[in-house]
Amino acid sequence: MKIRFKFERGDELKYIAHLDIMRLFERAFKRAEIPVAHSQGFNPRPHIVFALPMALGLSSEGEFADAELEESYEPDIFMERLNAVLPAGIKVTGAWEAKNGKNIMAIVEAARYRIDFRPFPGFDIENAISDVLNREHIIVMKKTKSGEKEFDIRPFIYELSCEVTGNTGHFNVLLGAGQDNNVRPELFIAGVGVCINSEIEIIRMHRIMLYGRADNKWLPLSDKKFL
Amino acid sequence: MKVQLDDRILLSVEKPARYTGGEWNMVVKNPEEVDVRFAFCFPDVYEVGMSHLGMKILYHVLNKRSDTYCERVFAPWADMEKIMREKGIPLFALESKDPVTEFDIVGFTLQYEMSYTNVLNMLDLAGIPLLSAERGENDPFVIAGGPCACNPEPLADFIDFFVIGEGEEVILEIIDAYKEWKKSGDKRNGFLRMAARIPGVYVPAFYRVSYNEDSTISEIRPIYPDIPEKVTKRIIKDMDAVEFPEDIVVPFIGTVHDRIMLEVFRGCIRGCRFCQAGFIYRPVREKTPEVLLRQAKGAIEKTGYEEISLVSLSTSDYSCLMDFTAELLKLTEERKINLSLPSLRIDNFSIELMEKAQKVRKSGLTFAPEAGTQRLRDVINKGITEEDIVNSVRIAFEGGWNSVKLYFMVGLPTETDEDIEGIANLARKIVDVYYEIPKEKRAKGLNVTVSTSCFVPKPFTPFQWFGQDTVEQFHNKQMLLKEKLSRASRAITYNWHDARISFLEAVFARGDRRTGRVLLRAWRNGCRFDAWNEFFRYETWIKAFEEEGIDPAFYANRTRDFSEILPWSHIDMGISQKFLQRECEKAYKGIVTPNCRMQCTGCGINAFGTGICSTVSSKGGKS
Repeated sequence: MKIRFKFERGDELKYIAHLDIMRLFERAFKRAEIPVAHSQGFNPRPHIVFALPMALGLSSEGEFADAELEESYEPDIFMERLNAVLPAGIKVTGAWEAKNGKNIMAIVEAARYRIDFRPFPGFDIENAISDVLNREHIIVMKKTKSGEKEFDIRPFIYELSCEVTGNTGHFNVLLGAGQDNNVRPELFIAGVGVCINSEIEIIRMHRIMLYGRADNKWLPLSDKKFL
Repeated sequence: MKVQLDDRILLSVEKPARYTGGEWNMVVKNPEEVDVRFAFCFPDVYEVGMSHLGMKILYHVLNKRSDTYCERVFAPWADMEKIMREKGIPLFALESKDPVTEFDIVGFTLQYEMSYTNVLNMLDLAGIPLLSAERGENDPFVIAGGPCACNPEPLADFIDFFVIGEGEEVILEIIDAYKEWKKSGDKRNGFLRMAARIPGVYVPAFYRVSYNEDSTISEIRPIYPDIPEKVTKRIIKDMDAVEFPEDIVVPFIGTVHDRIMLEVFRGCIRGCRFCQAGFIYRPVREKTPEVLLRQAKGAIEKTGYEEISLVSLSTSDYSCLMDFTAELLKLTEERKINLSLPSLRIDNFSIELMEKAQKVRKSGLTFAPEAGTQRLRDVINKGITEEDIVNSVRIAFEGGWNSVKLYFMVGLPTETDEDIEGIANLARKIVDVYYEIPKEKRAKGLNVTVSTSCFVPKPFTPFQWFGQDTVEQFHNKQMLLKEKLSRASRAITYNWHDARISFLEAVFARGDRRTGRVLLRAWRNGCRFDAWNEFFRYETWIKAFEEEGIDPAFYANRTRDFSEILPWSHIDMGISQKFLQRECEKAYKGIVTPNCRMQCTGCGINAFGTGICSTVSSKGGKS
């Protein structure tokens, strides 16, 4: 059976790379003695697919992955067994049977982030937001395999709000995500910098949720439309 | 006070998870609820230290005690060190993030000589006085063990006491003594006096070394009557009964050896004359297959690792290898776990075993002929013939391998240009073996890699008296071989080791107390991570020798008389001086010595009355 699970990664574990997270889960499945199906061929790999890679430094409460299991599990029991063998800082918070054959990486189209930043003196929330939202194009440089490339992120900023508490600013932003048009939070901040003509210092980045698109709505990957 | 590392620090250094801990199976205790806090320090970066089995064993043994909390400390990489020094962050332990100064005992493992400057650097980052003599009542005790501790003298000024031999039992005795001392309220020196009474503990401050006019040692003498003249190494008598960790810490980031390491036996029957491990870990003591299978199963269940590796000095010599691996394979196949088998001699059995065990590409197979001619292989007592090597390689090529690595040493005693040419000839023969196999039966694209290291004479080997080749001699030999190999075949790649590093290794492997001054000077002048090419600063080292008025050639390149008092002559590794001398003389005559299973050759280790010594008689065969 294919099981979709949601997990969070706290500050303790945000200093490891995506590949490390993958290995962490592979080993946790072995400890939990939950048999994962393996790929065929020369070097069989366990079938665990993560919806969207997590950059080093990013914490999250809304990650998703699919695991192809060799046996059937009640989602609750699956979650309980896995949580018993996960290190502090990573926790499975939901599990569902996924009958939809679609690759989870192809379902993701947006991600919501909370980005804490240090506002400079004179930073004006209203102005900043309208500066961003009123533009037709926001061109930033995106690193690709073949070097740097111009990338217009404006079409992939779907929602934006901002507040300042004390000496910290918080953006809450829904950005394009997935295989096409992925806007990393750093790129968004660079884009805001372009709009307001000033650099912004990021304090921390946190992913809140991953979404797919159905019925003209943004729905979490755990929505039954995607299962 | 815990050390605080925020995002701005951690996201600006390479691999921040080196410093954050929290791995699966990390031991968590309340430091306030234990009597003894032990900081286990590995003087290299996290990925190297976390690959070391000895640390895993002692971490487990110490933490089994409810009165003790053992935590891990690694050398911060240069980027982190810079930030720590700028911000005044002291060296800390991964478990609690508490500064190392808050610990009772700070223990270093000495795995290679080129990590010695890291020991000093870590003490300095911790804020612990570097010199043992300068430490006060509130400083932790700094102790050290591991293979390099068999000649502890270069670090004698910095380490309060050394632990000689295997640590599982003696470390517990040290903890007991420490608790007793702490309760007594006695002065710092009182604990050192207590520790010195524990067999296997060497307190350098309690020995006086005197020198002759020619700079050789005239005497090494204890300064108190109750201090032993010789410190004898500790060993574990029963490998089945000793604690072995199954719940090992599983790192988040990739490490050098990122797998379960199952120790199959200690010691080696072979007695290759260049190999220090082959002598200092004697006698051979095996675990039974039942115990190994239990430990393998336990470790697999408790870690979730996808690979398990058999660890020993020569896995092919395990007496129950066939039956044991058959059972182990059942366990690993069922759970889709790789079995890795390093240090196997290549024969039909091992090729078959490797095909079963690993689903990996048939790339590199490694052979270690060590020397290029039979004459020189006899000198070093490497008990393999050219025929063995050629046969093994043929089996490998027929089995579908197309890439072999060949390890040799240059600078071995009695070596001539003929022996160097012998390396090229052997490599050429291996190329020929490949082309003798019909095209349709061999894998495409032959690749033969020849690697040479530079021979470093080590204490407690038959070559401990031998003067190492100079850097220039090494260089000439490397260039000669390079030329011969380039003519031999285009399929051969040649790698050689930096002779300057081997030269320094030779100095500190056989150095006396005076060489410690050079370590201190070199560290002050910026040397650290000397085993890493990107940090190795040869000129700085040479300058440190000059500034301290110490001639490195005296230690590295000088051939000693058998009668000379060697700097480690007060350390007893169980191998008699007479035996080593006899082996040395046989080496120069090219006479080989049978392995321990064939016959006892009287090295002296049978005084420990355990392991292979209790089953093999001096007449040969089993008694």
